[in-house]
Amino acid sequence: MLTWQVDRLLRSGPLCAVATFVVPALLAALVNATSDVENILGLLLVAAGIIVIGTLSGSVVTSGFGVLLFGAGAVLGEVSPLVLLTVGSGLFATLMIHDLSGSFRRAPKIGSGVWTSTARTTLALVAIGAAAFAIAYAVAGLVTWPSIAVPFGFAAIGISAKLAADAHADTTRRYARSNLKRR
Amino acid sequence: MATERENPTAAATVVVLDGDRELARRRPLFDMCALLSLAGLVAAIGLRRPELLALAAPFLVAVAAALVFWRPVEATVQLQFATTRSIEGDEINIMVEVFSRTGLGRVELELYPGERLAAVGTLRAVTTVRPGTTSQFSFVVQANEWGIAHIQKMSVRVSDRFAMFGGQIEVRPDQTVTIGLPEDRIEASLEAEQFRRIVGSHLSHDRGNGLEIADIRPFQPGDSARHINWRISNRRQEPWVTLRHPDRSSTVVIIVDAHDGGSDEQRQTQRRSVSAAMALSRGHLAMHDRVGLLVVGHTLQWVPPKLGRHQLFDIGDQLVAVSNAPEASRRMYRPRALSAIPANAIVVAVSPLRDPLMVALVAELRGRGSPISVLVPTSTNDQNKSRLTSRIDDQARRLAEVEQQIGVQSLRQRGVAIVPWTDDTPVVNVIAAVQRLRNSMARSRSW
Repeated sequence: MLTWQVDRLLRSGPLCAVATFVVPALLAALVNATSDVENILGLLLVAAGIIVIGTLSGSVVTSGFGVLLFGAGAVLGEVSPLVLLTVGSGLFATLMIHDLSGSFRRAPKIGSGVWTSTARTTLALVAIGAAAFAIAYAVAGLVTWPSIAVPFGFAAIGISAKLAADAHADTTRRYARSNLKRR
Repeated sequence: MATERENPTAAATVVVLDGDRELARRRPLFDMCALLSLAGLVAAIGLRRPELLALAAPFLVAVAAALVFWRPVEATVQLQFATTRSIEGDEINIMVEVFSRTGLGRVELELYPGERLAAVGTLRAVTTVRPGTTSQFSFVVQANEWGIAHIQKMSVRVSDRFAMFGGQIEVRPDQTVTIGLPEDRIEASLEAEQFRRIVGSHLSHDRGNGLEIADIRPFQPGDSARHINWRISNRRQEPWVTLRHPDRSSTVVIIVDAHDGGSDEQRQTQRRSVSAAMALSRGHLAMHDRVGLLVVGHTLQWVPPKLGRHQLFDIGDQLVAVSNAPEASRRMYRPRALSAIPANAIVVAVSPLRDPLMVALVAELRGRGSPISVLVPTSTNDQNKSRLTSRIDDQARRLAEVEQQIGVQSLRQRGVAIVPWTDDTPVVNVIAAVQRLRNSMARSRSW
């Protein structure tokens, strides 16, 4: 029943756009409440404003810039890792809602599964992200790890990104070729 | 034009999405998530502050999951009109079904109706398709203008469940809906019985109970043995009889001038011509007259005179096609079908007689001795005329009017009954005018 109500609430692009401001604003309030740094709320609200502008204009780049700024503000706020994790998860959910608002433009008919599927996916990714962070944070806390992580970390990022991109491109090309042969 | 057949169901347009590369492109969200996760990783490692990973972790996991779980799109989208025939002003349902064996994270569908259809409510839909299931949507459009209508294009946008990969394709559905004219206003005023009294009542030259087969049914007491259909009786092992239409009393050929319908006035004239032709056809066919149709102008269609309900459907189809005929594609006013018009047929032309070639065609038919009447739809709306502010346009219009008058005069001299039909005049009055004309012409011939 609750899901249905939320579904009804978010069945339009404008409401999603409002949500992309409300969620970061709540996160900003959380950061402000847990931070000792002065005037951090203003910076975070500016970032939230940039995010909603990006949603209204349909620009993921603008919203992404707002997310980046918000993240930087949260880091400057010197808050605990748990709050940072909450902020990261909230910002990711905000970007997903931003994407939904694009699909919901011009008030379409919306299948009941769209919202629930997106919510489920987002929650799953957030949960896995939290687990991954917990592991990474624990490992990073080991005494010998930082000296290893710095040189190898950069290399690992580059290699994994390259491998992922190559694998995806290869799969796409292979599938398209087999599809052409079939036709 | 109420030409709906029983349970008309259109064939469906099926779009197969099978590993299209267009649907496997990176979406901007992927790039942004990758960028944010990269920034978080670099900052965490570079600044030696692992807690920064907390900000980037969901984005990083989303990018990784999208890459790992990405599968080519395999789906079919089926679009189907609920009916193939409709009446102007009616609402038409369009069913769209999306099936996917592997599932679709998100599908956005949007229909763009052609100029003869108008959206009723939204024509966009967003849904999720689970593996092996079908999602259905029903859209409603309104038949806005008579003619052959279609959906201009259907846009299908898909993305995976992480909204990271996807794409869009556009399809042009080939299904059409025939939109007929509403006939209620015309039917009341243009009755075939009245019209036939004027244009002539011909007794059939044929003898017997008619030649046209209407139906077959089992033999009943009282049926003549001559009507037994031996072939079917033998096949069904019981006597069956053939029913036939009664003899036709006359053959009516309706000529519709499908002149160019570029301007609003011409379109309105074309609409009235088609309405009148359809009403005449319906009325005469209901009275077991053979009715044929000849469409001349920028399109050329010939429907030989026949009896029966199917003939009405054929005539309706041809008349509706008039509105969609390409401009000046087959401009031919001396069609071969002219010689196929029976000599004793009553010919009724509906034409504004603006074109000398049409005038020549009517004159030729009259020269063969066919009784012919011409309804000339004219407009009393001077709005279009007032728009013609250019002196050249004004002169051109006057020249065309003079040319039309010359044509009309020459036809009248040949004994063609020509009656102008303004849009505010009931057709009953027009018929009475035709009657007076024919009587006066008959008197002049008797002198």
